[in-house]
Amino acid sequence: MKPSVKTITLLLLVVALAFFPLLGSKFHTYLLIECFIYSVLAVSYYMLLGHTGLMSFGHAALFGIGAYASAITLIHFSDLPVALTVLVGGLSGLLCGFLIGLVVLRLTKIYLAFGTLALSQMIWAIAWKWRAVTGGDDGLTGWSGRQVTFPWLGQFSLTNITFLYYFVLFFALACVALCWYFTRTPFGETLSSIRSNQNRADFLGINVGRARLMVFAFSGFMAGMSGALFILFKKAAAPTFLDMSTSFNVLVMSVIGGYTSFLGPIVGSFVYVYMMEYLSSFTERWQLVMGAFFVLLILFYPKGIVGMVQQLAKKVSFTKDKRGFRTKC
Amino acid sequence: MLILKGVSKYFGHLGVIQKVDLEVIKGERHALIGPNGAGKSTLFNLITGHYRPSGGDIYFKNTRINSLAPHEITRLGIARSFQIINIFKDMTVYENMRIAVTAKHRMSLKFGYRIVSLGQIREESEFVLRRVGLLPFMDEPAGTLGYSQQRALEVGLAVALDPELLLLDEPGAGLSPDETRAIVSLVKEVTVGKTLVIVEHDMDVVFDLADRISVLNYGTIVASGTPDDIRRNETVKEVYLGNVLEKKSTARVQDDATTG
Amino acid sequence: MDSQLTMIPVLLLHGLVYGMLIFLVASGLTLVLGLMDILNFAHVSIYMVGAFICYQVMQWTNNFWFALIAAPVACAFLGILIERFIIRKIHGSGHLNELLATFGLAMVITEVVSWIYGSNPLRVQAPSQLLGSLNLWSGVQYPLYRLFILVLSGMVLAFMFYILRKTRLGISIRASVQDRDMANALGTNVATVSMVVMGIGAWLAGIAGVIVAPYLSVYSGMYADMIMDCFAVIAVGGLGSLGGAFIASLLVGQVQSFGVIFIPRVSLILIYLLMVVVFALKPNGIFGKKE
Repeated sequence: MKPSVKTITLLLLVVALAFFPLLGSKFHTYLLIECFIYSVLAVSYYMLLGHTGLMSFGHAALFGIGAYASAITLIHFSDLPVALTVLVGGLSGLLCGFLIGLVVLRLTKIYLAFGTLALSQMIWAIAWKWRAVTGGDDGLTGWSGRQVTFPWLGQFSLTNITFLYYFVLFFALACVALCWYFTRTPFGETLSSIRSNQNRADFLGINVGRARLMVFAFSGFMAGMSGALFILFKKAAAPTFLDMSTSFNVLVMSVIGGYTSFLGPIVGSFVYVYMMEYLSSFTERWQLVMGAFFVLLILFYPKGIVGMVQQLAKKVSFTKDKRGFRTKC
Repeated sequence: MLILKGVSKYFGHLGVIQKVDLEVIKGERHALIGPNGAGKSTLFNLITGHYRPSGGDIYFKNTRINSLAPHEITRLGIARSFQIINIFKDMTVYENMRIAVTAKHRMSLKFGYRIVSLGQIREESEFVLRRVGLLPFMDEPAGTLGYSQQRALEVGLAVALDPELLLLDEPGAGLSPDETRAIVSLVKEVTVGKTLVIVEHDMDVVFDLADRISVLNYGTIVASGTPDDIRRNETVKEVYLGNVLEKKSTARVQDDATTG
Repeated sequence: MDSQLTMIPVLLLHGLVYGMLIFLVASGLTLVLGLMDILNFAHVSIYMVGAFICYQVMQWTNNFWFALIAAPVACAFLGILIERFIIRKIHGSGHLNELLATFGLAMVITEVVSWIYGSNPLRVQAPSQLLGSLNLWSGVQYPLYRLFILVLSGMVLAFMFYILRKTRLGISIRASVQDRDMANALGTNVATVSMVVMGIGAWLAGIAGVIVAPYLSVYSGMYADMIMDCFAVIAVGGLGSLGGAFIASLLVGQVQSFGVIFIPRVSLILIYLLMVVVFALKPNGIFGKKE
């Protein structure tokens, strides 16, 4: 099977990323970690929105639950290997996703947006008030100095940025690859059919309810993983992970890159992190600029960066077609 | 095969379907006709589980299907096409078919393998596409197809499910006479050995195709029987103001006479 | 036990007051939803902006009554601007893009407000004529200001009811909300009606914002708190149904009022739970339009 241009480019990119910390600056290494984590979050959201057409406005819940679950595990079960706590985050996200999916099973569009927003606000409110478990307003901390041990490779500290980079990159690649794989399965195509025409999918004998539950659970798993990685990175868990601004940030990342494609949200998350970094050096109010940028994008370029690239690509191949057409007639 | 006993459907106080008794015999081609608003599409919605009957019972192969969900009913062997084109417009023709075939094989939720590796599904999809004459268009987005081709796909999706009972809701809606002829011959071909219920306004199609006809008016069946019975039925004539049926019947008699 | 019982009428009144406030905001939301099938997340931002404008006007003039006139008018302008430049542009681009645009706008407005005023609550003093409490019946005192809220919102809503039922404009609005295409076909300029509806809805939200300022104080979290109550109202009352929204507002007001006292920790969550339950059982709300 001949590898396509796309595959080769991606492989080269991965190799480049793998070697980056050894050659590049600490500053960018740090930023890239955040990019990787947000990529996983953004792709998890793509599975719901871009791929299945589910307008969920409460993605923060899945991210936040994963973050808090793994934080609690890190604090209270410090014997557990760190990699396992990441999985705990993922599984908590999966459970949360499944439950949310269950409640909003029959809802679509506006109602779905509402319902998911309400559920996520509810979870935020619970986390905020339940001080005993979540530390309330102050959040959770306490694992910054945590050591991670690997059988042959030795011991690393979470404060070691290079180590963290590879740790996160590994999980991020695995998660993204798994999501990509799922879109290539019959299940993935069924999800697309639900996005395209849920009604017809139902009448073709497809159990739409079960498909929705599955994708909510899957997306929750991925979002939970990103939450768990995030707290390892930031060394803290805070209730703001669960509030609507986080859901909004996921939306921003998705829209910047183009929410209808798989690659879009990944591109968007990288752009988002770098924009956030450079904007905040100019102004404290970078969120405002980001928000205004988002609104303008939605109004004028809803397909995002990937959409723009695709349009350019079409123009290039269009000129080729034009020539072909002339010779035919 | 399909039995409706005293089926009613009320939306609030509005009785859209009232005490309908209908029997569809296995292997027959049954046409459902009636003026606009008589409730034909609603009947289809009831049979396929989109609506739940307010009263009465629906039996498919001796199983009561009143409270089943649409996808469950489809899995029992009933497939339907829609009056308004209801395909997956932003996916390619091939993908449309593949989704239907995958659903038929009950593999829609499988994620243990990549979909491109399923040879049998590919073969079947191409087979159905060839049958409905859409194979050359397989990589086009379904929404860019011409109307008659979208119609063909619309019917094709239902056919791909290989159902025992096929429900076609005005498959010829909006088609030119030639295109309608093509669809009708397609329907004849694919319903060999199957049971068909077809809603149609075009009387040519109805009398050409149907073994039996039921007439629906204001939510009730006013007549049910062979084409000849219907032609002679006084109530039906009133319903249709007579003329349409007479014209068709005389035309047919002439046709039969010339072909002898 | 006795004090619990005497609390009940007071709580009922509290609930009524808050319910009317919610309805002032939710009515505009409902009308726009019915008219343009767009859930305008930014509508509740206008309510918040109204409160902040009130605060600012008080800083400049220390005259509450002036703020009560000026702020809602400013809000009406804001509403019209939003309709003209954002809603109109995004209308018809698909449900998701519409939601994203209004949601994004709401986030931006919240950011602007916390940029200018910070995130700490700001106090607004009620006018001296409205301070103190009234003796309603034996042993029951009720804050005068809240009675004022009740009276004012009652008057405003009665006025709105009159306009909707008895004037040509009102009829155009109701027709357009019921069936936009039909109204268009019959000669109503739906574009103008949309603008007017946004303007009026924003004006009402602005009034709510001003009224609430001395009552609950002015802070950037107002958006998040009110949006949930409004959502609960629309979920329970049905999208596009004004009557349903009214009943639902009163209901939500009572839930908040009693909830805060009897189950304080959970009252917030109660609203969300109520909504979630209604959604799960009846996605169109109790009074909603049939899809």
